[in-house]
Amino acid sequence: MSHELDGWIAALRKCEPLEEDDVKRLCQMAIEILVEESNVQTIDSPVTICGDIHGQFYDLLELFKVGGDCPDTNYLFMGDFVDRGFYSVETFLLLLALKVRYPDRMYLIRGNHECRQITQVYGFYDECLRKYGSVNVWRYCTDVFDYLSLSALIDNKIFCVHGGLSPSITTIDQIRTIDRKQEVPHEGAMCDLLWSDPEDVSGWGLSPRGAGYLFGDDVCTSFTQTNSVDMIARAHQLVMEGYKWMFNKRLVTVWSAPNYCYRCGNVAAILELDENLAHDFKVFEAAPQEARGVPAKRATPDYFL
Amino acid sequence: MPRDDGDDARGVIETASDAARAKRDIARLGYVDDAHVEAFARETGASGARHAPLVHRGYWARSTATRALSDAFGSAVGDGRFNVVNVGCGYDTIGFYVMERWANARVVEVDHEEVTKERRARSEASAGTAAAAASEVYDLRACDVRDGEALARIFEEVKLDWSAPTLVIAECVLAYLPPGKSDEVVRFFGERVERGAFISYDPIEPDDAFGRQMVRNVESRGCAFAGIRDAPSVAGARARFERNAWRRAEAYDMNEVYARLDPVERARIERIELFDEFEEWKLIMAHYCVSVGVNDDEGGVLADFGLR
Repeated sequence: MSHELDGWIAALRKCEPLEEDDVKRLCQMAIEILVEESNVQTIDSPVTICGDIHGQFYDLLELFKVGGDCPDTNYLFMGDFVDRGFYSVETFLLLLALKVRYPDRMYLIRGNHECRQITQVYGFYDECLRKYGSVNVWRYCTDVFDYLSLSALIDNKIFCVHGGLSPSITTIDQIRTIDRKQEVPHEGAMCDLLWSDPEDVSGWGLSPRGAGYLFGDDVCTSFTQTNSVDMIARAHQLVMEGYKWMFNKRLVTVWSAPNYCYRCGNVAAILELDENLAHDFKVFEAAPQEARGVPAKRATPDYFL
Repeated sequence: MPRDDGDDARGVIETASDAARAKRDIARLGYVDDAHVEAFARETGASGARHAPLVHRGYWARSTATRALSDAFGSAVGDGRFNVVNVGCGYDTIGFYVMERWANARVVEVDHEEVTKERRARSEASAGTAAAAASEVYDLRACDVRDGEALARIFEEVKLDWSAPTLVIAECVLAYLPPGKSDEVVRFFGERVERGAFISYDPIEPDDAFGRQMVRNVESRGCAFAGIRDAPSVAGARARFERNAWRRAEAYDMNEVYARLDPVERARIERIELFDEFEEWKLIMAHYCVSVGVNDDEGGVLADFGLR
């Protein structure tokens, strides 16, 4: 099995998509592993935390160059593997194949784009249809999405989640009781974890995204105190410098898609935690044009012309 | 859109098709009512694939701001004849929009010959659009807008009455011109329009991280924002009017423009599509601006004209 997997990983590293049948088998293997994971995946340091990737395959290779290859480096990816970029299929399948091959060294948690509805608007669905001529691969992958864990806890000290907190959640134990094996709901605790944003508000605020909430410093402080964690690491929002501290360093946003959508001109970051949880941000730029197998015309994003 | 010399000519001309397709899509999705845009848009634009909701929302904001300003102008000037001049009209339908709302409007649209020819041909695709294009208060003329003498000749030919209130529109036009040319175009109209306004929609802020990437990307697409540094900011866009024969000027970035659009309409269009690109939305909207130059006597009918 590992021989076959290594073959898939080698192909995917070259940005070659797998055959539809292989995708199906890989997804089945992944589900068998993910189904055993808790909603709050416990992870031991050292580990490197990554934010949104959004199908920017060549920038993911750049990330591995900067952070070290899996399995030499342990990774936690905090969701939003797909949509927006040109290579959601190859990006997600590579991460998934690494997960199956090295289940204790690669951790994937769910982002708000790991969802049937959003992927139909933001590109993953169209990409599967374009690359495979049918939506089967999209179906296999979105079935996997339902099994992805919702959060992670590193050494019981760093709580990691794609979006943020929920007014329905006071303790981390409450997250453990969620029945996560479903499409991301439009409201409720599971939705909030994947959609919420930290903001300069007091208490809870309405989110302009139409899902999740805005939560303030006070909410963050009370959550970290109640659960005896040092800080929250999350992704979900583009930050031009790659990472951003908030709330007196009780929360950090990590963003790992450089030049997001090939348009935003931002740098990306990953957060390396050593065995003492000392942290070090590695900032990186988009892969150079010659490293990308894309015709320039195809790569031109939209503006108002 | 105006033509640039060399390799960029084709790319700049293609921007008209790209804009038309985006505007067709927002009409189909229910963002705007536009009976004419179907005739002008072709299935495949330069970028092919479906636009993201951000692009739809941004085009809505741009069209809605231009329409709101033209409505405000029509209301302000009263019953007498007024002119609307659309410079670098591409396949815009704003000229028809104004004619259909204001019986006293006279519309002149100008673009490069390749575009006007194609525009004329495409307008035949719909009976309603063909009829609007054939109206006696409508003129479509081919002209390189960089050529002031040619522009002057066009307005003589169509016998434009400069003493009537005149609204000039340039939507995503000035930034494509070679450096310095946009000043000449703005001055051309500033010196002729006694009572009226010039509204311009342009990219700005080419020198921050997003702006540098924007400049690179549109360049690689063959439609460089060659003249973006003529007015590289909100303040710069205002200053361009002030130094070129316009008595009063105002400018806003598109985040501020968006906030000034009708809140009921905003709430309606925000429900049309799932939207998950807020950080990018703020970024891209901060890199476009609407600027307005006004010529009128103090206390005149256009004293309050602008985005209110």
